[in-house]
Amino acid sequence: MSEEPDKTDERMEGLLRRWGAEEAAEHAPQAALPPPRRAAGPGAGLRYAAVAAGALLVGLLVATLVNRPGQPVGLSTRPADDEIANLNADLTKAQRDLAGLRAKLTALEADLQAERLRLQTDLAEMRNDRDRHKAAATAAAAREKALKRTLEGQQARLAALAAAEKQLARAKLDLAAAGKALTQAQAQRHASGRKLAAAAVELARIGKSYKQALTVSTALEGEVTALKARREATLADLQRAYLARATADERGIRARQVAGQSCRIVERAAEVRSLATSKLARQAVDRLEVVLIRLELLNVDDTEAVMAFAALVRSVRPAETVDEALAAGGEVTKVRAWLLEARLILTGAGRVG
Amino acid sequence: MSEDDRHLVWRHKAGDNSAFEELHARHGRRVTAYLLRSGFTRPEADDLCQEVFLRAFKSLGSFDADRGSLGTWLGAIARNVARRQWRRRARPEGFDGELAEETFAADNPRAAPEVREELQAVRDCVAALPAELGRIVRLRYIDARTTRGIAEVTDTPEATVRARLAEAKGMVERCLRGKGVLE
Repeated sequence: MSEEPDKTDERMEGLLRRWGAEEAAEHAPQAALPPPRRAAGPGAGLRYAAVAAGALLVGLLVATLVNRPGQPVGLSTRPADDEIANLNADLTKAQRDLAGLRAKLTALEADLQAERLRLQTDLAEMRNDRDRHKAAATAAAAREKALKRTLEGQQARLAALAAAEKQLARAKLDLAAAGKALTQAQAQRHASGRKLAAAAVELARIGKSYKQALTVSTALEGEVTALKARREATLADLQRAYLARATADERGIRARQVAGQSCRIVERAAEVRSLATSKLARQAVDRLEVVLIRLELLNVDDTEAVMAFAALVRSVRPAETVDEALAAGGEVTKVRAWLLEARLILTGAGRVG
Repeated sequence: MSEDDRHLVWRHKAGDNSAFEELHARHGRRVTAYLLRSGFTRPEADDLCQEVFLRAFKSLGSFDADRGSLGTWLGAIARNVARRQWRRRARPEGFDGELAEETFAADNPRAAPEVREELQAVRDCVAALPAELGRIVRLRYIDARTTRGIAEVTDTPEATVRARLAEAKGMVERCLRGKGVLE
């Protein structure tokens, strides 16, 4: 509903504005043409010439009428006929002068026309010259542009050649260095070949020696194994003999207890310790003495105590301890005998239970 | 652009000096109207109009009739001349620049009969207004004055001018409805 009045208002306003503009344009005063325009047309010169010539004619006529030679000024002092005759004569003369002036004016107009044509011709020639010069200048600019492009291309090629020359020089230097390196590498290769040949001979010799050593080692290993077996058998026999001191009903821990007491092994420990020279032997005596004292004091009927003792023996590992101390060597006979006896008594005691 | 203008421009370019005089006769009043509606005095408008046509004469050779009407082209020259003048002194107050610009916006009414009829109807309706209201409408839409400009000319408060202008427009609207111009 509200849009309709708005549209009407807009249309009203538009009509009034359009009407106002048209009214203003229609009733505005017409301004004069600018002055340069009025004098600028090609016909203006001729119009001025015609006006000047007319003014000249009127001036001459007036001068002729007013200032006739020998006649006093004023028309009322002469008889009418003479006056008329004189006036006719003056008129004829003025008409002749007018005709002469018209002829001059025609000649002037012709000259003016000719001058205008000449000027137009000159102007056309000048325009042609200007166009020719413009075309020549354009062609020269195009040539200069092309030459500039060519020059730029040649300069670019020269720069590329210089760069290529530098690369070539660098490549030559690299080649010389590579030749030297190749010579050195060849010398090194020859030296390496010689070393390789010598190394191959040495390797063959070592291989031969290794085979021989392997043969000897295999033989020795067999002997060692046999010796170990024999030693173990001896030790077992010795232990059996050592522990056989006990009575027939005394076996196991009890037999070992009796064997230790019978050979007073605990009592001899102090002397043996003082005789031992190596640290390893002293340590072995200390550890074994502790185990032997526990054995001596052990109640063999107390199963729990027997089990604890067996655990102690396993932790001390008497056989290994004695073997290590003896292997170090350098101990006197009393020490070696004590260690061996302790080994015989305690070996196998850890298996109880 | 009308064929007449196009033909006159062609004649001018061909060396016919009377063609420019005809162009001046056709568009001179509109240029003067624009300058007057922009707030210039009559002598100023005459001088500036001469300057506009002097410039137009100098550059009419380069005018391209296919790119716009001669009226629009002259309007652009007139605007530049007016702006240059306003740089020298302050722009006159009391005139509506937007209305002044519309002096060149309208096409030639002679080319559109229906528009001519509508404008004649407006002319009749404004003429039928009471004298005081008619004066205010003319000051507003022909002279392109603002409300304040009208108030100064008529020595009336602006609020009164606004009220009378609204009253006048209402009467014109009723009149135009009566003539069938407005629905």
